[in-house]
Amino acid sequence: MKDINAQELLAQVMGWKEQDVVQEHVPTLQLLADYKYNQYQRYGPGKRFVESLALWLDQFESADRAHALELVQKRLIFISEQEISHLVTFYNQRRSAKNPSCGFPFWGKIA
Amino acid sequence: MWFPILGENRLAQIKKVEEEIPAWAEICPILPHPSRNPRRGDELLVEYDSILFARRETPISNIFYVNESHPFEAYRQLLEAMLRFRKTMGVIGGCRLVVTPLASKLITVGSALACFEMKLESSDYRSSVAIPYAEPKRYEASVETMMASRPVISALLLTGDAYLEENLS
Repeated sequence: MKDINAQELLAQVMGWKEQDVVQEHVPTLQLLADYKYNQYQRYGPGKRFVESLALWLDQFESADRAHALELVQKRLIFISEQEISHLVTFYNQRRSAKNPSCGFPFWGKIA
Repeated sequence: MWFPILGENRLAQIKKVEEEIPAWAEICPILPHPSRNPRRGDELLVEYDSILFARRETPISNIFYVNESHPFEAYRQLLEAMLRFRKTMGVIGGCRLVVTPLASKLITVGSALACFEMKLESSDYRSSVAIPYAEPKRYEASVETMMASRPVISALLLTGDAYLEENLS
């Protein structure tokens, strides 16, 4: 689904009528989607974060949806593939530093 | 090449520095990861969205990470990035490197080490590395915030051996 349609779907589910309210939420969600949430590998074909979020929110009573969205915006922790990769590289290098025979040394010479 | 190292509540400072960065500059925002608060990088991204992403159209893929509590890893990441970009941009005429540390003291130490070494590496080049910075005019903190703060004390060994060898046996 195109971003613009997914955003309209979300606005519909959340009952956002004013453009200001849409602008308050959608750009931030789209930024985070582009940054990491769209990388989630279990979306079906063509489905991405904003559409999936809208469908997830739709299961709740209208009055509860704002709280559910707040949970996603303020509490959700998603560790992306890139972040995992960075962690693995970092800890491999630390291991190499402790045992120089298994790789290049971690610390570079400063001067 | 501009490397803004992002930390909380520095929007006014980064705006000042950003005014001096040309529109065609390549921007590589640096986020803390891993960090004690696993959402910290996400929150910083949102905080600086208007200035770095919405206005400058910085590609998300330009973001890179440095460990928030490990200055030597920050040093290594930043130095590697600067060396890599200098080599790449050299093909199309070269580049100037600009680093703006706005994050924690530990990451700032790491970035200072990287800039120091980059200056040494730059003797054969026309330009070195610049560190533009905007000083805050004042700080405001409530007594409650000060009392509630729990500082983490760190010790860094920049050169030499931490322990004498005879004491290791």
